[in-house]
Amino acid sequence: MAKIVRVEWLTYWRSDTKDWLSIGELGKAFPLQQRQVKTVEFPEILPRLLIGVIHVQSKRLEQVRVEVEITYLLMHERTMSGIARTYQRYQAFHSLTVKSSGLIEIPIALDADENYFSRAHPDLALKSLVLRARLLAPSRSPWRSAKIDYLYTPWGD
Amino acid sequence: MRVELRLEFAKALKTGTERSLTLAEWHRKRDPVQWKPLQRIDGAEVPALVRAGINLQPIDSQSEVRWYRVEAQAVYEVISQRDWGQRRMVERWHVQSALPLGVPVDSGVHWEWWDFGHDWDYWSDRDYFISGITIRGRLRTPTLGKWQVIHIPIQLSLG
Repeated sequence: MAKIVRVEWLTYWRSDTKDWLSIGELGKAFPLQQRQVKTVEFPEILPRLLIGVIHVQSKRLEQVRVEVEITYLLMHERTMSGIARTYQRYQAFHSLTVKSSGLIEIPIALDADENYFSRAHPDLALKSLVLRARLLAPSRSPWRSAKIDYLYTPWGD
Repeated sequence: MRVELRLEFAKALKTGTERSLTLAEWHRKRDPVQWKPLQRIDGAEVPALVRAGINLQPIDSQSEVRWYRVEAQAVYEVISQRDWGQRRMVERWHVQSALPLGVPVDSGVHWEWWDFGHDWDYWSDRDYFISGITIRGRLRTPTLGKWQVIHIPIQLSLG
């Protein structure tokens, strides 16, 4: 029986300069280092590129259908608590065949999204970015998710 | 800001070679890759990793930052080697994605990449050929746009 074994966020930086990789630079000939992202210190250290990755496994060959969602959660900058607004960034249905392992990857230009939110909603701040996925076929599974939390560190710390 | 939606389809080649890059290689090391635009596929030389690009292009100079929502879909036409060549349409993926535009960093672009070589093998093993790929996309918000469609025929090599 097919199952989603892991849901994660990955990012990359250039090994030689330690610069975050932008989405447009992905696949260019730089030495790269990979990092799994669970938190980001904001706004000082913000990955430019994120790749949401869903790992599917099956012992026998199976055709699976996977629903994937990416959602931004925003909070009021004044109170810095609670969820003031949610934005669904991505929703998809992927049909793929899996034998042993299968992959779905979704690249996100986090710098562009962050720039949009800071200009369109200056009273709100990013709180979390949630990637979740579930199987719809051959049978429905519970959601599995990976969340990135934004950590707001005071300037100068 | 008025925008135009453009679609593209490409295969991944290992840089400096004509060798098709696999999804596993791409995932593992992000090997240097050359995305080569494709308008048709030769069935004797099936690509492994492929990518559809959905691009929003501003068509006026207003610099307002906006969040656009696009919808896109990839559908395979598969043809049976039995049953008098019966054809079926099979949806591979269907996405809705929101994209900011008007920011001074990479924006207005959505990519879907996937393992076409694996799909080809799956259907071949079941006596089907994938005979074409149709990718279509449209703007959903702020206004519903017309579908833009590209069709990639596959030249089958029947022994």
